Amino acid sequence: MRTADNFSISFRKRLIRCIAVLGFGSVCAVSVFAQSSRFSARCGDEPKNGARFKVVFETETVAKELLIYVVIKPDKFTRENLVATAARLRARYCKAKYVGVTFVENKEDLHYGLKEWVVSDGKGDPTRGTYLIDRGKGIDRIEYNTKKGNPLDECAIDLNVKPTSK
Amino acid sequence: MIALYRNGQAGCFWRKTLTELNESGGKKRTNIYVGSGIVAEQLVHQADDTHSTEWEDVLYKHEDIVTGSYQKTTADGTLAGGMDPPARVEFEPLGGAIPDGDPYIADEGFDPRPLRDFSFAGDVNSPEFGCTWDGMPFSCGLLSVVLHGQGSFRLDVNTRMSGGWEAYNGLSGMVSTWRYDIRQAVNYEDSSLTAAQYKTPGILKDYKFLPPGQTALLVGTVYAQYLSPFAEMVVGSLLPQMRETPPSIRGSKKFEKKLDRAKERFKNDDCQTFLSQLSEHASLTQIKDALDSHPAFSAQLTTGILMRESGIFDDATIDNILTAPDSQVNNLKRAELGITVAEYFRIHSNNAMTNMSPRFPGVYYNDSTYDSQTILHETLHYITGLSDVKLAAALNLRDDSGSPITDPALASLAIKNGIYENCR
Repeated sequence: MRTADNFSISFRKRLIRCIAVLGFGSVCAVSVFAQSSRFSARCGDEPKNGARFKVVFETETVAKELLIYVVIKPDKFTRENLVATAARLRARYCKAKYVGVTFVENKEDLHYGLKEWVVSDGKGDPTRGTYLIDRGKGIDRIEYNTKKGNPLDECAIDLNVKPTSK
Repeated sequence: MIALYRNGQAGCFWRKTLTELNESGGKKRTNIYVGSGIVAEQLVHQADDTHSTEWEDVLYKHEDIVTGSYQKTTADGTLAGGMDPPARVEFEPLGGAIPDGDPYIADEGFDPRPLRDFSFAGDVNSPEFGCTWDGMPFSCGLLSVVLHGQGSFRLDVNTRMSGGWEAYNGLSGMVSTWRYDIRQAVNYEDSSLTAAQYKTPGILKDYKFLPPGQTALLVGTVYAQYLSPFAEMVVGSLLPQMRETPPSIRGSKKFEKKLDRAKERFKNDDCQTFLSQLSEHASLTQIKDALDSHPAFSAQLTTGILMRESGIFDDATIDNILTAPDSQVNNLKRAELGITVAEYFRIHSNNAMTNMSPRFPGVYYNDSTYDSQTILHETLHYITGLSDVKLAAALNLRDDSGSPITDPALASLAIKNGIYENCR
């Protein structure tokens, strides 16, 4: 026989369960949503290649060039991880004709911007590398250095994508 | 002039002029009548270029007895050209004399011409017939007075009037092409202006005496030429390219509060001593004025202005960036010129940036991070035009080893610490 108390307890349990489900669902939804942005929408799954990186900023120039700023921790700054990261980014921004990626070791290094680059004539640039996809010109190339402060084109990986037809 | 009349004793004449005398009693003209009409007149002329003494002439008058129109000929039958009275007159029905000259102005510079080119009577020195100044009639004799004034105005010269071409040619000799700048206020902090008025461009004269802190940006040009004289001024203009201006933060509660604190810091004796080292670049009075007046913009709200248009870089620097050798890193740096100021600040987390372009002076502040030190710091850049490294050197700031600081980031940090230390 159901009493008022039983009903109350049962109802509370169901309510808690419901909130838990809704909350989990929301977290999942947010997580899924966080995978894409307006720049990466309508692209397929990214390869599960174990790349370790974090996209910290995305922006677009007036000429519709996509500029991406990516943090890769120093210990992950390897040729293998860079190639894997490039594969992920290539898939993530599949619709963009031009994607320019700047690699830094931490977010604070992004304080060094164009202004600082101009004022210091490029000295002290903490950038670790760049990755350029220009689908119009068939460019898919990583340039990086082995140590902060070294020339940014110290090493290069040409991923050599053939030009796409217009 | 005296006229002699013979009253009609014989019934031949009735108050008709027989002989006119000049002011000294000499004969000027004698009329010869048939009935009531003059058939000839004997004229006595003064000495002139071709006659060394007074000379006489007889003209025969041919008159239409219905209309009254007439013309005169000399003894040999050629048309006379006298003007007093006129040798040829056509009367219109109401009795007015119609000029018999060709009404078309032959020396107009343009063809075909509309009806307005037909000459009228009048004189350019009469305001009602002569020139206009911004639509207001005035005597062309005063043109030179008007031209001594400043600013933009419109002058019209009526060349249909006697003396019109002379006035116009004189004017065009004085005025060829005038150029007027159209300027747009950048940070017009006049609280009486609306947002729309703030962005309304005006002719340069409106901004000639900009109060401190109010900056006008050149956005277009008007060329005024005084070519076609009657009711026309040829105006060529480059349409003003209205530019998005960064939102000012002057007047905002936060900025005013931080600014007051910056002024307090500035008043400190140690601060005055510290900043007096900049005397070669700016006096203390100039720094104080700049604190009060430098254009202050919100970086976060500057979402419509690209980095390349922001004034953060001067023209030479932008040229250098654009013409840097083609490499992957250069291309990516170059691309940053194409993002907005707001995006640039979001990504690079700058505290503030002082414009280096003299055409667009001002400081972009990061709304969420600037403080009173930032305002004083950027004011120093603004008023001296010095970069961090040069400003640090001018303030005699050294690194730990006592050497001049060459790293821009370290120089900025040293200035910041110097302000905190001396300008409490």
